[in-house]
Amino acid sequence: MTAARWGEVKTILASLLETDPSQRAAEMDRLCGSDSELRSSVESLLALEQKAGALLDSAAAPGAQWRAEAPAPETIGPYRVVKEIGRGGMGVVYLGERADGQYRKQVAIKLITAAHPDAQTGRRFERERQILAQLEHPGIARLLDGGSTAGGQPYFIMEYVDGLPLLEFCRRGALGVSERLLLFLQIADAVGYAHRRLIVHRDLKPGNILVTAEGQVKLLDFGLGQMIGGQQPGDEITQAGPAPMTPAYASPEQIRGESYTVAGDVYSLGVILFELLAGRRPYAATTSYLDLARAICDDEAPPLADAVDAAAPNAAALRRRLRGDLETIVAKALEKDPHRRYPTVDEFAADLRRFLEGRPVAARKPTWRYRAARLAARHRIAVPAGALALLLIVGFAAFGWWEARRSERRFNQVRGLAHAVMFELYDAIAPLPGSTAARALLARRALQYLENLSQEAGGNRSLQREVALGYARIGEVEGDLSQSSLGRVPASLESLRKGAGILERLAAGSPGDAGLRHDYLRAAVDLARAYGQAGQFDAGIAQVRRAVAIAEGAAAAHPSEVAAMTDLEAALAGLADAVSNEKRYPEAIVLRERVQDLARRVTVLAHDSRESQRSLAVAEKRLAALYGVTGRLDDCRREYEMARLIDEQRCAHNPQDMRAKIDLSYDYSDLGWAAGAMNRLDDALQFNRMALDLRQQAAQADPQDFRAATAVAASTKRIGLVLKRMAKPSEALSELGAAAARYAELSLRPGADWATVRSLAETHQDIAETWTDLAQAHTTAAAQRRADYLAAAGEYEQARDLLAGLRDQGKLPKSEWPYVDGMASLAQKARRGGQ
Amino acid sequence: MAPQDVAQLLVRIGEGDKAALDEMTPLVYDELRRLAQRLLAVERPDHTLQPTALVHEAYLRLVGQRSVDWRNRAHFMGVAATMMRRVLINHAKARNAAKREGFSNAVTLDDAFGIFPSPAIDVLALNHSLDELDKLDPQQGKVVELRYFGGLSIEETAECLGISPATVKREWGTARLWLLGHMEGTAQP
Repeated sequence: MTAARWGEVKTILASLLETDPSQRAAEMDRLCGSDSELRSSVESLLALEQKAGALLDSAAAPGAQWRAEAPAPETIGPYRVVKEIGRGGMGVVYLGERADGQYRKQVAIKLITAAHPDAQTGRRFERERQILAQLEHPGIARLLDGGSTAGGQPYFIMEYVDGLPLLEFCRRGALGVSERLLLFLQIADAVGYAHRRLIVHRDLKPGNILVTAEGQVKLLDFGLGQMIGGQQPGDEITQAGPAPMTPAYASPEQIRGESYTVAGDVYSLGVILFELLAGRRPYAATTSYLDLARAICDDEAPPLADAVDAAAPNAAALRRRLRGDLETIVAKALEKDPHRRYPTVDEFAADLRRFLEGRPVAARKPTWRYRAARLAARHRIAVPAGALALLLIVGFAAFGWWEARRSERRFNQVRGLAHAVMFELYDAIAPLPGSTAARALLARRALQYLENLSQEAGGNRSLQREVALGYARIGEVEGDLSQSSLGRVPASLESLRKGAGILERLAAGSPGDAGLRHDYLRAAVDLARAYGQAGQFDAGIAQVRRAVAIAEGAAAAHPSEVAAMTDLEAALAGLADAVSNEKRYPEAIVLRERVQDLARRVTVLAHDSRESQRSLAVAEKRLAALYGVTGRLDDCRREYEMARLIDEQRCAHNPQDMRAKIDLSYDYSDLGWAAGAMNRLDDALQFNRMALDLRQQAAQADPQDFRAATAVAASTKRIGLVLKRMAKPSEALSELGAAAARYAELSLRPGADWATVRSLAETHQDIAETWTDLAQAHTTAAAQRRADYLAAAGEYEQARDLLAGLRDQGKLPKSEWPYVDGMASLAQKARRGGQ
Repeated sequence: MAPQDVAQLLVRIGEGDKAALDEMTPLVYDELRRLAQRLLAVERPDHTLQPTALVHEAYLRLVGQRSVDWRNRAHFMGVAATMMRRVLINHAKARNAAKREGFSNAVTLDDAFGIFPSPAIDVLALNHSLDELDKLDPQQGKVVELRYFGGLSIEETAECLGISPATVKREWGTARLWLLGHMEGTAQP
């Protein structure tokens, strides 16, 4: 098996392993397509799943044996450590005993390793400890003591609870509905008790709830609880930053990072009750945090009874028991809107008691009117950016702490977060449909924070670099039409210019820094391209020539370095584009052949094969286009077919990747162009229809995506032109008319650029020519012929007006000015034919 | 070498310094060998030597009690995983040789690990297949080494390699199938 083949098999295998076994056959058909060899590789490996799990189990691995016991400290404070009993995000939990033999009571020692030991942390934990020490309830594991180790790590000494986790307790005891409800009421009473002392839990989940052999419920980890309403700036307790949570039990508002109140605990208790009764949680387990977060915020929880597994013993009886009041009670606790939930845990518990006693409950089924209103409201907000908006909100809610104080530590926190949002989150969502608006907002907000920090930090160079990269990102998303974007060219140019300026200064200051050089080159090429799109060709060429010189120097100094090669590739490609814009094609071909050669070498050397494959496909296509315009049609078609092969593979690997789909649509479209140029019109039509199909998918997935919408218009127009050449003028007119309508709509969108208007003008010209064809075909019916000529004249005039408008605004390249008069004379000629 | 220096090495490894990793590996191996020999000299011959204790003692001696954060620990364990792989392979070879030749008298570090219960699978065959996987997919090979020989958790492995936990999970899940397929000869060449 080759590495590339294994890569394909691996991708499919990984996806199937995450697929429910009942869906696998269908998924296999979809992923393997007609490649029977691929399919048999995947099948033979998948068949080993169970055996591999048993044999190569990581818990049975030799390594696991010596890793099983971490080096536990012998003592913590006055306590002797007996053994480790748990491990979590915050730290480690040990079983311990009093070391000085005062009494032999067993305790749980929670050592907080996640916190950075310093004076501030120490004070914060001390405060928290004092609050928690107030909690004295049989249902809450008691906080006995606390302090910090010699190394400064805080620890809590908690009552040691010898019990089973909630769900396991219920399973082992095969508890019925009423017994489960009684256990749940104990939990609710404990939480209600804490709420009355203004302490919320924030991370309620079955794993944090133990049940002793006597059936006493004990809540652990009230350690995350914070004072309700203690949100004043400067309150040290709130400065801990966003508390950890467990998404499966988190409320929609907690997912969104909004303020946490008792309603959040009510919701989490609702999820726990749902799971206790139905045997599963309201939202399907998924490996993707994004999917889960979206479901929690957007999807209605299923009715409790419907969630019962049909295969469970007594499923029918259980469903009957759950339907009605219990279902209504759980649904009220799980309302998306906190105000529609039970206002307190005590009221939630009271309704359950009423149910147990057979009295009418307070919860009511929501009316259809409310449901419909909710659905509409949800879609108004959720559709444009969908799940992405949500992710965005999760990311930004945490910025709330910026408002408070600005100590050195917070400075770093905010910077880290802004960095994560700007760079990691942004990249993570870029390939998803519907992400354009979300990315723009994300980048703009993060930049705002970085700029604030940069001002505070004065000459901090690495921060300046991040600010510069931030500008570049914003410029990219705002204007770069070669990526999905909102199409705001002037704003984009300004951002890119700022970013490239800062980076150039920084790079000049440290010539040996390859990372800075890369950032600068990228920004410079992007800026050059943006100049081209804004019609400022000279500025673009000057900009990109500087970049090429720097990249050539770096590549010569590091001949086998992938980064230097890709930098040079990008700079040369930028120059090739710039000279192509000036129609200096032979020059551009030489540059593009070098780019393609570099791209080939990079795919061999690079680690990220997906990205380098895409770059190679792009390089092939751009070269193909140049061969095409210079009439080397066989070369042109060959290069396009190579790009198509690469992009079809990319789409097959990741059907969610919208970028790959759009890329492939360009391959088809360009192959359609080449076929047309070679006079193979049926092929041309076929390719253009394939392109249109993909583009429509992309445009529907994200209606705000300017580039996808433009691409749909372009494909429609191309189909019309092929039909025109096939001497099918009426079919051609209907396609071209549709294309013109699309371009007209696009040109009205805020920030539509000159290229859109020019495309509209071109389409009017095409329509005019088609009418002229028709007129010439109607040799017998004079009246019909005249009408056709007049229609043509009207279209030419529209084209003229649009181009003249562009010229007057200074947006039409000088080389295209003659077209304005050209259109005018064509219109006159057509009018004469119409008389 | 003083604990600070090793801690410094770990920091450098954490920053992606490959040279630091090369410096670190023999250091860990030697320390383990030294500890094992010392323990073998003083303990009764029938005493089972806990590799757990060995590695942790090595860690404490090399890095020190007040160690660095857990990421550095992950890198240390990453180095130890490579070493454990080597030790286990040597041990399996020695055991096979002893079986063939009918004797074994050399007291080496590898014998110190003789208390390992025989794994359910042939370590040498696994190692051979893992070598093949390394050639096909170096990152995936490393994931297996860290998880299987190093006993690192998904998160630690991710930290060690600088990739996401989700990626580690996928790499690990598919690697297990590939390895078993390769060992059983069912995977296509």
